[in-house]
Amino acid sequence: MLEIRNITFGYDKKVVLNDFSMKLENGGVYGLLGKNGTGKSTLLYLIMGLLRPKSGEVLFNGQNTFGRNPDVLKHMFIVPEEYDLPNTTLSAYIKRIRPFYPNFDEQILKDCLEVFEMPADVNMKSLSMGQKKKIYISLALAIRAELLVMDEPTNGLDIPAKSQFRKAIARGMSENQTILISTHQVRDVELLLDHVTIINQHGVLLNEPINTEEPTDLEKLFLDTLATAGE
Amino acid sequence: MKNFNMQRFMDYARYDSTINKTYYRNMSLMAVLTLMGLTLVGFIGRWGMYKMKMGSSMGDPTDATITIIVLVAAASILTTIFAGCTFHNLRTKQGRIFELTLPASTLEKYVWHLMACIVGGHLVCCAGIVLSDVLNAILGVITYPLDQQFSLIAQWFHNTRMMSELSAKTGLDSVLYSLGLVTLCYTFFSLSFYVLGNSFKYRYNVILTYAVQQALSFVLYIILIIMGAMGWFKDFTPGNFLASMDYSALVCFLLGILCFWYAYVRFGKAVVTSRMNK
Repeated sequence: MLEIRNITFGYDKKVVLNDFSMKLENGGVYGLLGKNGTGKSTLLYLIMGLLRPKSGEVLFNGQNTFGRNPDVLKHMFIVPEEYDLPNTTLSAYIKRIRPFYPNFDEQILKDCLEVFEMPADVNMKSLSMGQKKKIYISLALAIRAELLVMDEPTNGLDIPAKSQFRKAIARGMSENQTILISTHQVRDVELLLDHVTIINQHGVLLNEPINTEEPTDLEKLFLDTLATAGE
Repeated sequence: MKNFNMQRFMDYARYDSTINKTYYRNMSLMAVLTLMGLTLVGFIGRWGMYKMKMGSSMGDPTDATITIIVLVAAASILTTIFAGCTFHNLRTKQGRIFELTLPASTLEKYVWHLMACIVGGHLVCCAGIVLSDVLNAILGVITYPLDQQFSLIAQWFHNTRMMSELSAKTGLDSVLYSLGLVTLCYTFFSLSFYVLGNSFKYRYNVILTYAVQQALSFVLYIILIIMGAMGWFKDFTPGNFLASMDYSALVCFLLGILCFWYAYVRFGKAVVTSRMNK
């Protein structure tokens, strides 16, 4: 469904991803882990067509994402690490954004806002950073994009909100939806993940499903994987 | 056209108007208040002249030629600034993420932004001039006798008509026509140049584009001076001059099309972070 083929990308002379390849199949929650500077955020931007690789391509359902074809974009959504919501009410924003996303589900939005203990309508500019994040995550889940990409989604959330985040994902996630979460906060998401992908700048070091019957210590898995790779 | 869906275009227009209503409102207010402020200054200047020359034939409070010229120049600058704000959604990294991932085509977004900033900018300036005229009228009613009331817009049309009749009588109407054509085409090119400048740099682009424009104008002047010194214009007749103005208008128009097209291409290739836009 999502295929990253031999991409090379860098900023100025610094190479961040070198001949990198990865594949994600349909459905499930993927955790994307890697050391600082390995290009996790860069990879997410490349997936969303927000950056252009120097070589290689990113294909979503067979289409190059940098083409920014609306018929492809309506099935993808990103929750970036930092964002600023417009100076308008949530209901006005939803009214304007939902025509672009045909799978938008009002009920999922309500459910997620309920989990996050946020009101059904609010002026988004007046919210704190953590509240904006809750609103945005609720919106992202309600859009029901086939591919939902999240960059450090639990940054800025307090401890109760992190638990709410896990509940919201469990409640708001659709069947056949793929969620890719890039994070350092492994403890916040390890109960959610079906699959873990550990990367370095050259490619994937580990890409395997998580055993849901036994708890997985993701931190230990991450460190062991890096040690095996000699990093 | 495969890339342009009217329904999606309308959805995008509504979306952009909603999320940027504060921005558009502030820009419009800035433009209108600037024009009204200049009108006020012009009025005070004329009133001062009138008071100083009380009893003399000079200091005619109804002669607002300078104010009108200043208003037209200011409107021209303001519409250029608006053109330089075509890609205002891309100013911040977060804005670029929202804008570039929204499921509308590049063409739909581009056409809307041109309409909002260029067409909208012109409409705002027209509204500003009308409001300035109302302000001038109100101040005039308070300050001068009824027989000295006038409209800035009516005076402008009157002056234009006078100039047109004069040029027809003196056989200079073709010059006026060519001048008008060059002005129109140069304005078109100028707007497109600022849109193109914005496609390179999303912040502080108006100043930078102005600097590039001045630099290119300087180079052009030097080239013309050199050509003049080499005798290129020694056989120039008034007919040649008119023809060269018409050709210049054509060149400006074609350059304008090129700038708009290239700005569109650059918008389609915009990325979330680059050397020029962090």
